[in-house]
Amino acid sequence: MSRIIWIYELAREGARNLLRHKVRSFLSLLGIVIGVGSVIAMMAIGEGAQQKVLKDIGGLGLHNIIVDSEKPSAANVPRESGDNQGAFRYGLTPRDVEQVKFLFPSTTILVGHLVKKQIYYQSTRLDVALLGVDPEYFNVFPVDVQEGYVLTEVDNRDRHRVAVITEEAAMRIPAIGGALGKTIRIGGKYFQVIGVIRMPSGEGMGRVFLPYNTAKELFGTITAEDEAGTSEYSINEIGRMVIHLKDENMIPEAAAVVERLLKKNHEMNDFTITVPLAKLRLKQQTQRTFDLVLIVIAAISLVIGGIGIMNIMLAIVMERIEEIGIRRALGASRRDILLQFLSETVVLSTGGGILGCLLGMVAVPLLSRLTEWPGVFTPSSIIIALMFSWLVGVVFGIAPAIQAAKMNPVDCLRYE
Amino acid sequence: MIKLLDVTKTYFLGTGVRALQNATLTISRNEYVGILGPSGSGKSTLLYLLGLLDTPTQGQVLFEGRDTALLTDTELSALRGRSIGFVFQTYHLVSHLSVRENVELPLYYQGLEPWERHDRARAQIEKVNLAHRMKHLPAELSGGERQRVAIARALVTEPKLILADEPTGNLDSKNGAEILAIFEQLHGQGKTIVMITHDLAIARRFPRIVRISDGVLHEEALA
Ligand SMILES: Nc1ncnc2c1ncn2[C@@H]1O[C@H](COP(=O)(O)OP(=O)(O)OP(=O)(O)O)[C@@H](O)[C@H]1O
Ligand SMILES: [Mg+2]
Repeated sequence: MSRIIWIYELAREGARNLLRHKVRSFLSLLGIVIGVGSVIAMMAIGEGAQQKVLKDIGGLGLHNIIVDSEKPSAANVPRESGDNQGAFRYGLTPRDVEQVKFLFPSTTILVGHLVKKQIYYQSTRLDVALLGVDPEYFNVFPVDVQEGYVLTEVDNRDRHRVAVITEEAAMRIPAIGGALGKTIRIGGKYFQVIGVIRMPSGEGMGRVFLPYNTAKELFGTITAEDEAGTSEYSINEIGRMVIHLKDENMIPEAAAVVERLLKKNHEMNDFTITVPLAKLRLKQQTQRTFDLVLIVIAAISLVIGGIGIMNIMLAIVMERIEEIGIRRALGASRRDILLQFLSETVVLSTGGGILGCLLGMVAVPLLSRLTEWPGVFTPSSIIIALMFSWLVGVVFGIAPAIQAAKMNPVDCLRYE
Repeated sequence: MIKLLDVTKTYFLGTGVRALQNATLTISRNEYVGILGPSGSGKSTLLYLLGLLDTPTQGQVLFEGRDTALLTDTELSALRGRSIGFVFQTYHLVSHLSVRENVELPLYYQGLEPWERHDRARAQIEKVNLAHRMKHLPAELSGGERQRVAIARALVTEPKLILADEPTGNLDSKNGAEILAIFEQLHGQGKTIVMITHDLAIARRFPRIVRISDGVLHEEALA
């Protein structure tokens, strides 16, 4: 008899026996169904969370150290005298950038500057953030070019009046044929849109990018802000500095060095350092804790499910004692009896695994809606769940099956 | 064909019952042997030993010259499945399997393909005139029909040795006579048959009778 037919017949026989007592079999499965279902659900949610974290943080560039200027909240900050009477200066300075460049000579260091100006297309106000950036910016952050080009060194050097805008900004431009090639107006100056990009998520929405030098020349570093009617001037020369390192392993140390340097240069607390890699590591740490909890829950629920199965199998063996004796008299070996009951258990637990997977698939969208965590199914989670329920069947089915196989056939036949 | 050499079987439960004491018995090919004895005398014990279902506490059981104590469980099981057919007083059909599936069982353990089992079981069931009951469960049959299924199941492997433990014990005389007729016909076909019975009327028809009382065998010389 071929192996496939043999396995098929064992499984069919097992299934048939179990289906003779549908309610009992189902009840004995509940433990494993709920166990597998919750494991599947938690794996899906864990996977979803992981992917979200990777997308959010990965979008910042795992090789970057990002230093942003931050306007201090304190009111008693030193004011400028002379030309910019009354304005206050904060944030990163060219001196900071020079010193960082000196410390990391072979790394890419780029700067960006937030310009507080309104942007118009004809009479439509776009209402998005405006940044002057080094062209390197587009290499260091993983952006997708949707249309046209990104800014180049030449644009920056020759102070071209061009702009690259994000998809979100492009959608706000009510022009036929899309935003590319259109002209936008910023502070009375005109710029041509040469590219539309998609930003990595986690990095804001609508943005317009100008070459750093163009922005600095046209708009300077003085920002006028209307705050509750008063007009306050502040000066911030460099809004953002990005240090892009080739070697991931150097990042923690480099971040510490940069922080020490900037702390020395700045009396005020007017900058923040973001290390995406460190953020990711932290999240992964949390993920590992989550995984551990998941494994413990899975193990507990599978053991409980397994005990449920073992219990029912012991009962099944007891009620089939005569059958065992008959089969032995007709030529079944101990091994045949063992396999018969073991396959019945495996059918049972596999059925539980399948039902559990279905339960998980139903539960995940519901949970996602309730908790707003994304749930992502991976085929591997289903395979793992099925393999585990199969394993539970073998592990917890072996004892009842051995018990059945060891019975003395004559005792079985005499058994009332 | 099968030989018991000084076989003792003791059940250690409770006080320790000697179900069989120093039994020596030779069953040759194509014999038709009746085993007679009062209830509890050890008849079934003897039959299970002859059928290689149980092992003796002492002594040897030789099957076709081979010491069965030296065989593994798998070898013994295969020997049982291939060479020996059991018929029991209480039929011992598997209650949730149909007539045909019951008859197929010993063929399954010989590793036959499903279709071959199917055909052979059907042919055997036809021989005991139960073709119309093929798909029925044992509970739906009369006692006589059940015993015919049990006989079909014992014969489907074409065993050399048939062991029957009071096959007519639960049947009325008409059904009993039918079953006995089947056995006599089998003997005529060259099978070796060992049958336990209480019934002296039946016992008269055996060419050879072994009496047993309190676990001790007495060969009865008969014409
Ligand atoms: N598993 C057992 N444990 C203890 N004693 C047993 C066991 N099986 C049988 N016996 C005893 O062994 C003796 C012989 O039993 P056996 O079944 O062979 O008798 P029998 O001749 O077949 O009787 P009957 O005609 O009633 O079937 C009896 O006294 C019985 O009580
Ligand atoms: Mg008996």
